Amino acid sequence: MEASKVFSGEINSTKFSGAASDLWIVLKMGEEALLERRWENMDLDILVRIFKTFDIIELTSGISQVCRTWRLACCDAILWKTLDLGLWRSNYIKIPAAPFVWVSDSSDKKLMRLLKVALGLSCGAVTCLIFHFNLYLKDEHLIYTAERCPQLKRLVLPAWNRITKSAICKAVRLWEDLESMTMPSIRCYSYIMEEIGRSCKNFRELKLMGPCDAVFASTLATWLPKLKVLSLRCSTLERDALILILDSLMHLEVLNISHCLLVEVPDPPAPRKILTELDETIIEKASRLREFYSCMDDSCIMCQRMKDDEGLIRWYKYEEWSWRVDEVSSLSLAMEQHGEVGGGILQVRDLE
Amino acid sequence: MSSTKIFLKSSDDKTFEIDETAARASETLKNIIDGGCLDGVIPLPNVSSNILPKVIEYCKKHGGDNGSSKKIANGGVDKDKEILPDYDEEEDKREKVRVDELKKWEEEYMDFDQQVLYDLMLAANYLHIKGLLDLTVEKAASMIRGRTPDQIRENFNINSDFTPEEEEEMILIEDEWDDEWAFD
Repeated sequence: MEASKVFSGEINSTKFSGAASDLWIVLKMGEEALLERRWENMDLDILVRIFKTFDIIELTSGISQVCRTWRLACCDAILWKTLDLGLWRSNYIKIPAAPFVWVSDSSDKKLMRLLKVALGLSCGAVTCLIFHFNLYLKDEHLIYTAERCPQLKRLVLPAWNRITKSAICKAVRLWEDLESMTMPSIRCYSYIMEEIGRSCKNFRELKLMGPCDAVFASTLATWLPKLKVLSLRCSTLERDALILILDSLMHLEVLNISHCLLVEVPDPPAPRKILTELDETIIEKASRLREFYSCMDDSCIMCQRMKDDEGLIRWYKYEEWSWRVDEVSSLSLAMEQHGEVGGGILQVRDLE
Repeated sequence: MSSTKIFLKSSDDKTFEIDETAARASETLKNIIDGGCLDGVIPLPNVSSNILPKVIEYCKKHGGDNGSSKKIANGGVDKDKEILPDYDEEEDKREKVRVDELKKWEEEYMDFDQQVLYDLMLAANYLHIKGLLDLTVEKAASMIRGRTPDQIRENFNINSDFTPEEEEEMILIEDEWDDEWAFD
């Protein structure tokens, strides 16, 4: 009687009935006992090896729902070290007042669902978490994620429009192992840098996606004086800020200011002045760095884009992968999880 | 030119012959051979006589190397070659023919059902034949990619063993997920 239970699903689908189905069960049982070659019993390591070739969409929607063993293999830590949500952006509209975006309710719900399924399978194994620059998390998304990624080492979160100060601080407190963060320019940096400085003892790497002024630089100097790697690529960068960074971050080893719009800001009402090359003071101060990346070349496409966009690069206008690139190898985001498999084009989906 | 013969015994006690050079495609066999503890016949308790000839066929084709046609193709059209002074166009052509032939062979070789795939995968894993394992992983992945759980179960003859409650929960999740972006 146990047997008919086990195979009931298949009997229905093949439309056997009565005695015929009993015979079929016996045959099937015999075959199984003899060979035990069932994909439900496949070696977990081999299943993981197969599943490694898939992205998060296939893992969460298809493969994990096949059977228990496959679901278990889907939970393998190897598959979840990096959770790349760079494939999704919110369904949003830009608005003129804070938080400067409006996101549809269904888009928020879908993001929550996606996080629930993915983080459920990940079993806390995520060490690198990547979000798209147009994926606007709410506090509840962020906290839900933070609570389920206790081992996080790297966070790429370029859009903070809807995240409150208390939520991001709470998340950072949950991420004691955090070493690297990619963040947008915000109005006030001190609270977040202070929280990182206090909670994340191994923090070493920061990337800012947006304008960098002297206030940012002095906040870094105050709260994260031991920073080792800093990327400001494609930002409007005040000369004073750069000098301050070079003077005060004594542990800094790697600095990337490629394609930055370097500006000098004199006392008002004098207008800001765009510098076309690095002066000797900067070069001399930067010479102590292990790696220093700069590019201020009119023939460089990224430098041109910075100029066209007047110092605030509009990533959505350009190739989908372009924001993920960085001259610093440890900050550049691997692409193999996307596109390559699906035909070479990175297709970002709207959470509508 | 004759090479040393190795004898392999399947789990159901059947013995198969293979050249030593071919056997070296398997890391496991290579270690046994090099370890010098070769006592006439190597017993393979995890490989049946149904699948062992298929494994041997692969090893024969690949002799000493461990890669699939892909890797050989990459190595074959190595860019560095172009700057070498003794770069041989004929050699390059022969290499291309060889790679094409190997690809065709792989295609025919890999034409089998999920049961054979299952056995071959386990055998390749057990015998550490990386090229063969890669090929089988690729085939299994192609039977999964872009398919719904039902379609995958059908392809691999899998019974869903989730409880009705779990099934229901997953259906709920699926309902909330718009198919448009879950599977397009």
